Formats: sequence, structure tokens, C-alpha cells
Amino acid sequence: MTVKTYYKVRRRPWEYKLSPDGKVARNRLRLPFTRRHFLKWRDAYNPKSLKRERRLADKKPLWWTIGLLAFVVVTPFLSNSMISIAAIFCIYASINLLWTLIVGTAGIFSLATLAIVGVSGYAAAASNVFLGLPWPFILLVGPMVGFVAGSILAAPSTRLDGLYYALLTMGVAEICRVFVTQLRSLTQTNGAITQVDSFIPEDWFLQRPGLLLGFAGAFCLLLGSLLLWRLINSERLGLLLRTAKTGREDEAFAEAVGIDFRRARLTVFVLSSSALGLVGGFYAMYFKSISPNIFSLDQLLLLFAMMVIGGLGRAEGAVVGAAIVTLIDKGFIEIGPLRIILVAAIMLVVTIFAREGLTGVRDQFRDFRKRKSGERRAQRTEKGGEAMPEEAVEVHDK
Amino acid sequence: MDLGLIIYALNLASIYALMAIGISILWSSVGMINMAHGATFATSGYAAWFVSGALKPAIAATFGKTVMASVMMASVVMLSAVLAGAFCGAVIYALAFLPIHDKPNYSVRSLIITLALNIGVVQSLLWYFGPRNRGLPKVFGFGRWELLDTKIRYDQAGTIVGASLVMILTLAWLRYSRRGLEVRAMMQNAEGAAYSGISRQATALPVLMLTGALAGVAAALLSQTIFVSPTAGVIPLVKGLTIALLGGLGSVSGAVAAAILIGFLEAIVGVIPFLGQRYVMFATFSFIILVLIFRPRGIGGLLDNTRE
Repeated sequence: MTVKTYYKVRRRPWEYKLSPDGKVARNRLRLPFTRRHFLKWRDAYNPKSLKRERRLADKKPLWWTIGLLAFVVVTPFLSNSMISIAAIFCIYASINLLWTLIVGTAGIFSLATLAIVGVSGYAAAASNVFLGLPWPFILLVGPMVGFVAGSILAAPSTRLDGLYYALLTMGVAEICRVFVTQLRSLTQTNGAITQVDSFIPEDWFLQRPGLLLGFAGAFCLLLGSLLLWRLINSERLGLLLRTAKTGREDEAFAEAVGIDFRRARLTVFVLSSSALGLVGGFYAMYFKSISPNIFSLDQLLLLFAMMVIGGLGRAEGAVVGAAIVTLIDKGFIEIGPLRIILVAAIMLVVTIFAREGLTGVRDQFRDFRKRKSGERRAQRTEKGGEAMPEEAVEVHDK
Repeated sequence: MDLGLIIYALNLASIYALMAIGISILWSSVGMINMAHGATFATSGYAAWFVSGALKPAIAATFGKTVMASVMMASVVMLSAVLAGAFCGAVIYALAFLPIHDKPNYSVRSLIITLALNIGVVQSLLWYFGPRNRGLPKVFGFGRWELLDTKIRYDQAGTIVGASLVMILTLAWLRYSRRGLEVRAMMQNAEGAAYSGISRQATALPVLMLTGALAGVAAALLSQTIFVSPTAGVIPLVKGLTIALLGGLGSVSGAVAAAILIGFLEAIVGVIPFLGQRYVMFATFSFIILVLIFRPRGIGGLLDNTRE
């Protein structure tokens, strides 16, 4: 006689749930002046126990808070070189976030990200060194130049598509590099502007307090980029762009319902360009100099590797990728060119196996598991049985 | 404009056209932007250098200092470069096409994988062989012809003739062979080709090996003029990509036209006194931006529009 096995069908038995008092009315905190809640709590009654259960439907804010808090608490206790690596990570992560806004949210495949950073960094540094503006103005000049550069670059983006626009922006970066290296007044320093005034006092530069101050500034920059990301993506602009996200059909649909998606794309492009300008000004201040290296293809490829390893189009991908690649690139300088080979190998393996980078692995695994369990369920459902495989999840007791 | 300048421009144009045609064919048939073309270029150059260095004593012992010896040497250089290029193509097929060609985000992911391959291979070459330049044995020998008061170096003439010959052979293969017919069917309409029984997997391998071999030929030919080095592939890759895009991706004739245009532009900018070699890239990209503003899909790029 064969023993019949029973399979339990449950939804997320591992998940932690609160058990609030069902009789008390809910009172949720709202963000001031908006109708938004801070966290996505969802309540439901358990049909078996008839108890009220409360779970956090979106746990990402939790992970972000824990991660960033741990990062900012641990870093001051690290060595000097690690603090500067952490600061560089913050700068790269914010550039990546803004680039992700352009590539992912706006869907404009621009390769001129570092060119905008460089141009506004140069303009800001020049305004400080040659015009004698005090350092707080760098943080004003940077975004202004970024705004102008972004507006100029955004103009052809609606006319050209995809790869052709990428080619154009790559050309712009190259033109910037040649222009800067050919400038007469900068030939003594190989095209670099040095001795830029900074928020880090002169005698603190490369000392521990100076490094800590620089890290604090860079961390604020990262928080600012995250805020901009959040503001654009979760507000109306992001909604409009998500409607016209993929393919010609979606664009046609968006147009038909009256969404001017081109205008929305340009807005996001110009907004992120202005923010990139701010990053450029900060970059010049943090290193107290800026060199034509920022326009080089290698630097751009390194940033691209960060985005790809983390996952294109995701905020957490941009940050995680920046952390991995910066740690390898700046942390293991003693192993020489091997570290670039290591980055390339990681990029290769991640892209072959993961659909959307490291941060997309979880979703990919869930899809895979869902598919497999569906296959298995379909195999063991007997012919003529009462439950079809698609309905089996709905049945409580099999 | 004198004849020397035209020869120089054609020399540049033929190398660029070899790279650009490879990228263009690959994009339109397999749907892959091959960023590893530069790595293929550098690897074939090194393979030619290595094999010719290894076989030099053997050839010298068998043939002595006869004409036969230099012919053998030339064929060894070309053959090893072509074989190495084809081998690189097969590696790209195994890594960037086969695992992901039926998975989501194929075009972006293959671009990323080939880019990673390019970075990895160039850095590995740099790590293993060091940054020193290596000279290849001269395939076409030293010397020059006098023609209408201008001197034409053998290597320039050989490059132009050799590249044109290889391109004609490639186009003939595409035009007249069974495989070429399949490739052209895929270039025109990938879905329709699949419906009529053309296997994407079986066609992609010869296409990738062919484009790799084209890059190998380009490497062997360009190394007659400049040296073999790990980063030698970067500029041909960037030039090949820009020219393939300028010509309109997927259009072979557009790519050739764009290569000739860019070759002449570079040659002319290089000799204008107040611009000079430093402004060559500057001028190229300015020209490309100008063209793209007026013709957003490149010179020959009406293909995509007609396809839809």
C-alpha cells in the first residue's frame, strides 16, 4: 500500500508579522504636507486563526536605513585610506544614481555623464582659481553649468535614438577632453586645475579630520542623490515616464492618453545634469584639483561596470555596484592590472547568469522557484482531479 | 590634394572599413554590438607576432634567404592572425551569444559581456606581455614605388589592395554562398528567417568567426604600419564602432562610404598646419555629430525605418 503524501500550501510562512489589536482603529503617520505614508504596512485577517496580521509589504526602506546607518557609523573607525575609499565610493555612487536616472528612468542612453561632471567641475574650479570666487560659490556654479550643459545635450536626444545618441555623447566627451588638454593656460599642469579652495581647510587636507569632513560631505551628496532619485521616481514625473517606458507601443499609448513623455524625459535629463554639475563642483573641491582624466573612456567604463554589476536601472544596484567596484579598484592597488581583470570577470559572470545584475538575483530566483514549483504541482495533480495547477494555490486544504 | 594624401586616406579607410563591416554585419544579423572587436584585433596581432617569431628559424632553415621564405613568412603572419581572429569570434560566440541569446535583455547583456571581455583581454595582454610595442615582420617587404612624383610605400599599397580583396571576398561569400544567403535572410528579417528554418545558433557561429577573422586581417595589415601592443585595439574599435554607426548600423555600403569619408577627413585634418594630428579625433567626432543631426540614422540608415 502506498503512503499518500500531503503537501502544505502556505503563503510566506517565514515572514515576520505583527499582531495588532483588531479593535483599535489604525492611525498611520503621514509625510508632512502630503498624503504619503512612511512605510507600506498592510493589514489582513488570517482566515484560519481569525487574527489580524500586519506585515511590511515593502521592506526596501528598512534595508536602506540599516545599510546607510551602518555605513556612516562604521566608517569613522576605519583607517585613513579606508575613509578616503568610502568618500570616493559616495561620490561614484551618487554619479551612478544620477546616471541611472538618465538611463533607467528617462531612457536616454547618454554616455556624457562624466563629461557633464567634468565640464561643470572645470568651470567651478576655474571660477574659484582664476576669478577668485570663494568656495561656497563652487556649489552654485557647478549646478548652473551642469544645467546649461544638460540643456544643450538634451536637445538632440529626442531626435536620435539609442545607440546613435550614445555615439554622439561619446563624441562630446572626447571633444571636451581634447579641448581641455589643448588649453594654453593649463599646459603647465597637463590640463589640470590645481589648488582649488575647498570646504576642507588647507592644513587639514589629507589629515584625519580633513578626511572625515570630506567623507561627511560626500555622504551628504549621496543622500541628496538618493532623495532626488526618490522624488523623481515616486512622484508624478516617474509615473509619466513609467507609462512610456518600453518600446514603441508604450510610447504611442502614452501619447494617446496625453502624456508628453518627451518633455518628461528632457526634464529628468536636465534635472540630473544639474545634480551632476553639483557632483562635479564637489569633486573638484574634494580632490582640490580636477584633471582631464575625468573625460577618459576608462573612467566611464569603470562607472558603467559598477552600474552593470549592481543592476542597470535600480538605485540599490547603482550603490551596491559602486561599493564592489570601488573596493576592488581602490582597495587592492597593490595587485596592479589584475584588479581590472577581476572587475571584468565579475561583470562577465554576473551578466551571463543574472538577468538584472546582483540586486535582481532575488527576483530572478523567485521567478525560477515559482516556475519550478508550478511544474512540480502540475506533475502531481492527477488527471480528472478537482484542482487545476493554476488554482491549486487558492485551495486551502488539499 | 596630392596623391600621397589620397593613398594615406585610402590606407586608413580600408582598415576602418574592415572593422566597421564586421561590426555592422554582426549587429544586423545576430543583433549584437561587439565591443570585443578591439580585443580580437589585439589578440590576432599578438598571435601573428608570436607564431611568426616561433616559426622564423624553421622558415630560415628551410628556405634560406629566397623569395619563397618571405612569401612563407607573409602567409604565416596573415594566416595566424586570421585563425586567431576566428578563434576569438568562437570564444565570443560561446560566452556572449550561446548562454543568453534566448534570454531577456539579450542585446544589452551581450554588449556588456563583450565589453567585459574586451577590458579583461586587453588587461591580460598588458599583464602578460607588458606594455612594450612589438613589430611584425613586413608582409609586403620594404620599399616604395614612384608614381607621378609621389612615393607609395609597399605596405600602404598592400593594405589597400589586401583589404579591398578581403572585403570583396566577404561580400561575394554573403552574396553567393548558401550560408551567406542565410545570413542575409537574418539581416533582413530575423523572425522570418527563423520561420523558414534558418537556425540562429548555427548561423551566428560562422558570422562571429568571419567578423573575428576580418578583425584579424585588419590587425595584420595595420601592424605593417604601426606596432602590436595590448591597447592597439582600442582606437580601431572606437573608429570601427563610430563608422559602423555613422554608416547606419546594418548597412554594409553605408559603412564603406563612412569609412572612406572618415579616412579622408582624418588624412586632411592631419596635414592642415594649425590643426594637426592632435585634433583628428576632435574633427572626426564633430563631423559625426554634424551628420547625426541632419541624418539621425547615419548615412545609409534608412533600413530600420523600412523594416518597420
